Amino acid sequence: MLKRLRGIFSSDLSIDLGTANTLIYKRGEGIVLNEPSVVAIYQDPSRGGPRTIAAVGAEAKRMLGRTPNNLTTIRPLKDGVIADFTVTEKMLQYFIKRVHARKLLNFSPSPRVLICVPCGSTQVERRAIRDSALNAGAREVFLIQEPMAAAIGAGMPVDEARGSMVLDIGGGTSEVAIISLNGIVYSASVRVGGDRFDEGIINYVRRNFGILIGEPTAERIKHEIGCAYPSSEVREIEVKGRNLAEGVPRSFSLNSNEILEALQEPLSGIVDAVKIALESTPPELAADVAERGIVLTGGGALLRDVDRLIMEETGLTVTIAEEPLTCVARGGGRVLELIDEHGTNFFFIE
Amino acid sequence: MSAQDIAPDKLESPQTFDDSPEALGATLAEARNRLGLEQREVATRLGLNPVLIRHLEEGAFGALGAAVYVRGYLSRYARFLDLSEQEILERHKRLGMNELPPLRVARPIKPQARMKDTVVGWFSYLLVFAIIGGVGWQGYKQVADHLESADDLPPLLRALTGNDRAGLALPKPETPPDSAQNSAPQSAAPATASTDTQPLAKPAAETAKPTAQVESPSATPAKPAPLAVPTPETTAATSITTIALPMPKPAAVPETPVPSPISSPQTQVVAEQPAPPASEPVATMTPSDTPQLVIAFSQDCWVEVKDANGQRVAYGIMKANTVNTVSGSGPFSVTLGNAVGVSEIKLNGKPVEQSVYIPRRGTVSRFTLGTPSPL
Repeated sequence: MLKRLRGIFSSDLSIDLGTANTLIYKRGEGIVLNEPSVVAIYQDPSRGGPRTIAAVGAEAKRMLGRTPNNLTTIRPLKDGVIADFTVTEKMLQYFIKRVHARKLLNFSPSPRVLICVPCGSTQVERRAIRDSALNAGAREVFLIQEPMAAAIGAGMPVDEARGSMVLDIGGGTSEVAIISLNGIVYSASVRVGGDRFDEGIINYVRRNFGILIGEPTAERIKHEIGCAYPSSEVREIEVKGRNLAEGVPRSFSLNSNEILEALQEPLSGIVDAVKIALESTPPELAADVAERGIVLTGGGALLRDVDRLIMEETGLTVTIAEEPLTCVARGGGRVLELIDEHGTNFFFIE
Repeated sequence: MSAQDIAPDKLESPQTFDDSPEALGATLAEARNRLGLEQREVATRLGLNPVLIRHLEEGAFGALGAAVYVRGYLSRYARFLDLSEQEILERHKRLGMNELPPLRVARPIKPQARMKDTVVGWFSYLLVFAIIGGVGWQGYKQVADHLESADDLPPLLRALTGNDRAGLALPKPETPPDSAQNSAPQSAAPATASTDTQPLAKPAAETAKPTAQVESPSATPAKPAPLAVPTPETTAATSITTIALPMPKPAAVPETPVPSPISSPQTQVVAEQPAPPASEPVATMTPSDTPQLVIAFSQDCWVEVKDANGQRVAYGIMKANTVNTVSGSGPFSVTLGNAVGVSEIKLNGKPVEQSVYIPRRGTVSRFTLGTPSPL
């Protein structure tokens, strides 16, 4: 009853609860929040002292790798699913409160929430996400598979009786799906994403330069000179890390060809997933896909020439959706607007 | 449309081209021509449909499907033609054709067809209730009629015998008509019953005014007696008469004036002629030429007698010390609920052996009497 009352003062939300970033689409307003899925937790120094949330989002991410003993930065999601239930709940609670501007009456918001989940997540993992959102104050929770939301957000005609193929490269997972008639005909999820790219760069630098770099540095390298396909233009970046042999910080330079080499393993994982999906596609839909191509969404689609890599590997037209980072949240938002009219018996909503 | 088709003056104003799909297509076509390639050749090398290349060069982007795919085609074609991919996509974006397709549910999910939510549903419910109610009412009426007919017969018999008014005591035999009229309610009862105008189940106190009714005709219309069983419904072929033993003479019948418009004709019918044809068996006099079954009871007994046509000619609980006469087309199918309570059965005046109607076990007896009627 109280939740329903609070719901009057809340807006429906579509949440892309990603491993790297959490995006929130507010009904009628669009994307209102795009924050890293990072939480900084302060541990009271006294023995058995309470743990409190010190920072959430971008502020917490700035602390990543730079925290004292009593402060810990946590990424509560791993591989697209919840790794730390309590912290995820607190993080969601914080984000939901944040997107609801203070009203005249200071009710804590109780919105209806649609959350995008990886298609490869188990029932237990989905239940954890649902419970986490409910505990965070959501009045009602709907779950939708990420590839479907991504396809809708990318503007693909998912309702047509023609095959549409979408590849969503996220932070923790990459999802590939063939969609037709508002349903997923085939979907697969591989635990390869932006995090694995960072990990690949860290390993490459350590192995070839004997220098240890942190995750934020690896991410910066990826953003600046990362590429997925050889190019005539070679770019360089100057980075600093700790020399493993000497134990002192050293500066060194990396070029895009080296990063391309560093990313080979995770990229081949994604390409393999796409090829397997094409092999598993029914022939009629495969013909449609051959004609229309593959649409890339997610933050991974921003990696330079990743579309070209997939194009060369598959021979299909590959299109990067507009604003690929927000496709999932925007797609969820569009679905949310249909729930009132059509209920939840479509788009595989749970 | 190719680059040659574009007027030279238009080529000089690139701003105009930027804003039209045809101009964008012309740019692509021009770049292809510069490379000296045919559309079909390009399509083969890109692995795309030649029609698709033609649409791109004509600027017919609407025929290529969703904007996201058009962007993909443009991007790929621009790369192939060594054009600036970013510039081509920007020009396409400026065309304002990047709108997301409407999100439709392919199989529209109607609001669950709950009958209660629709007017048709309500009417359907009403119709169903009306049908159920109608059937129920018909059934109730049939049962009620059945019970009424079952209940009517014994009171009628009681009325004829006079037992109902005078308790179960038998009236004295050979009571003089005068004394019966003047004082004794026991003797007046049969007299009134024979006219068939008195209520059959009235309490003795109410019916104990026969004298006043007979002596003062004006009093009779004030009390029009409802007929328990209408005489006109009696069939000519089938009749039943229950007579108390001994039967007092119906002295009051001829003298009794019947001013009541309801009771008068019926009284006359009973008195002057056999009852007119009807489907229900009623108490009346029996023609002598039809088979006659006389059953005398020493105890209360449930009886059902059916004639050769299967028509029920007697039905109900017969009181003790009464004689039931049934006539109709034989043979008669008789069912006695308490056969031990039957003292005697006569068929056309001949007594029937007890072994026929006294069962070996139990009290219920079913048997058939008589030969087929010559009728």
